[in-house]
Amino acid sequence: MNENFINTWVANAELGRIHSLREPIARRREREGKTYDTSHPLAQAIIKGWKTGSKKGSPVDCFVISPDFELMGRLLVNDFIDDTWRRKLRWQEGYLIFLKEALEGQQPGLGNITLNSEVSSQDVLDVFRTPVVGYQDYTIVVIDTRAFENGGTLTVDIEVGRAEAKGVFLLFDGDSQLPMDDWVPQDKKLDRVSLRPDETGQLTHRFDRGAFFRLGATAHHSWNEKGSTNAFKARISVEKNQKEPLEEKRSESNEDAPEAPLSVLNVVLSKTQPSQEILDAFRAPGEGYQDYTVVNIDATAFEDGGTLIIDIHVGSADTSGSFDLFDDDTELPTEGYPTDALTSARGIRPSTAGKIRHRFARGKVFKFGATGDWYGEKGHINAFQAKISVEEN
Amino acid sequence: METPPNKITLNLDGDTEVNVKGFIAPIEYTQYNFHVEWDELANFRVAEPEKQYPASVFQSFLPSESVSVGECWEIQEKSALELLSQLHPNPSLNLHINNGDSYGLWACLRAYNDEFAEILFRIHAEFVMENGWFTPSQFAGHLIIDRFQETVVSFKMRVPETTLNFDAGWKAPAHPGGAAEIGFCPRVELYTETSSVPQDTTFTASVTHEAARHALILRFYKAQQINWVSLEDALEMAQAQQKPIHAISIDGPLADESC
Repeated sequence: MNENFINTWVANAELGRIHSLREPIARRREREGKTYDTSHPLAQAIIKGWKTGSKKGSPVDCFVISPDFELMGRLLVNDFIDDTWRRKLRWQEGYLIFLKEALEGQQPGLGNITLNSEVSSQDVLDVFRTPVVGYQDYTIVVIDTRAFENGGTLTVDIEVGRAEAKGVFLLFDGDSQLPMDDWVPQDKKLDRVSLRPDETGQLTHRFDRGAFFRLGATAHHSWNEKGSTNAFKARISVEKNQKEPLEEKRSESNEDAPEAPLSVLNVVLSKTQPSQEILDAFRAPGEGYQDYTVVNIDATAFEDGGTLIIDIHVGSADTSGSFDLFDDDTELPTEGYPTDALTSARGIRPSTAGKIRHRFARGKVFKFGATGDWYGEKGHINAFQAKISVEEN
Repeated sequence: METPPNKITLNLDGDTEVNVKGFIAPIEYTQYNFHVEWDELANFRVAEPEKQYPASVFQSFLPSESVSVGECWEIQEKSALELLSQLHPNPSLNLHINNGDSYGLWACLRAYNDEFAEILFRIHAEFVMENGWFTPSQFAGHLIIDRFQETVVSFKMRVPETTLNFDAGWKAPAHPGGAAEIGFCPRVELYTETSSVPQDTTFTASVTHEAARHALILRFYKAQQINWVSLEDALEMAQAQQKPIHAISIDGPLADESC
């Protein structure tokens, strides 16, 4: 290690990664007359590294960074432990493989999604936003298909959430610079689809040799209000190169149809359809406040009562979610703890799941509120997927 | 028995007594606000602000054989626990999270002359609370003894004031298995108010404080065989040496127990 690398470590809190500690640490530094420079290229490379590749939470990130401060590899300790266990490697062996791959230019860990013959399909749950400044503001998913040496067909099945923003999804080569202006040159994009809220669509691309690809999700500034957002779910899969190229299936969304922003969604459950899934986004309200995305759940068909079960999966953007279930007639709070909530699942971190269960004696309507937790940066959003179901008494 | 050259033996007069003061400041910040919500952490204060110890307690910090500067030896558990219990009634040297390198109480001879000897030490310990635990990053300190009089000149044992300097776990009703927390406590300290070594003291033999601290940390963590440098130093060195950087970004410090 000493021969081949300059070795350094930094506490995440020093670089401001732990949001709740930013303010107290800043106050302390001010009091002690100390500063901590996070603007230099090495600190910036690490900060960039947090946002590159998988967004799963990990208490330790390991990076290899070139002398000119470009990321060469990233390893999340939680994934590392699982991976070495699965591959029956000792930790030292696994870490050595990571370092070697990084030095050989294989960019380990820099793809969000790594597909191979064992795992040929993965889901991404994230958000896109309409740019506030400039023309494009992409949510990027880096797809590593290098395991498919003889090529294959990359398919991205996309489902857009029910919030107000319409989305544009583009597939690029892994090494292309993403266009920041309105017009995307034909040779830059491998495939493209525009989708309205609640729509589904597909991107496909046949490749001859495994490579990195990038899925860019954004919202067009001329179709949407600046800053408006939506959730999306993408199932990304590769089929080995055996078949003819897939015919491109593009969503035929009607760009001229009137906008129908939905701030409240109604889910009606019945004995013939006791379960439904929704895809939506929530917003971090800032400490002490609440900013609910509301779903009305009509369970009146269950006259003899039952158990309402909500399985929640939070997207991979930066913000954790808190979810509260209320009676229909409860006025949802805009600040403070939701003391009137029937039950809650709070502080669900990105890319993790939570569950709400509530038993009710007779059929009724509920309000399900989704909001960011108090530690997330105000205004930041994340996607969530909820499977809402009732088990009869 | 003859002492080998460059080595010294160290002793204390067992009849003397040492007055030690203790202090714990209120916790300044934590990641999840446990220092407000968890009573035991909110009210975490020193158990005994002042206590008298026989010199024999400090004898346990000295090597049983002759040593040279930079050499390390183990401190006896019983005396370390006796001192730690002045801070909190339930100290433990067996940390609840231990990857095999957490346990230890080590001392190192940093410097000496005919009159004084200065010893640096590092102890890993935690406090067992009623509803959880409080694990400081480390207890670092020094013991300076008067070699003629065989008395304690100065003793200090403290948790360094790094950005995050403790880990805690709260077995709250909502988290019976214990929810983890990290934070900063500005002062956790045991100290004597006795006079210290004059600043112009010349030592016959010495290693730097940094070298002694490195010798101590090597007794705990194998990973410290790697030459870790600060982010700022890595920035300069990578450009000068054109070597890739191996960087670790971590929730708690890499080289102590506060993570």
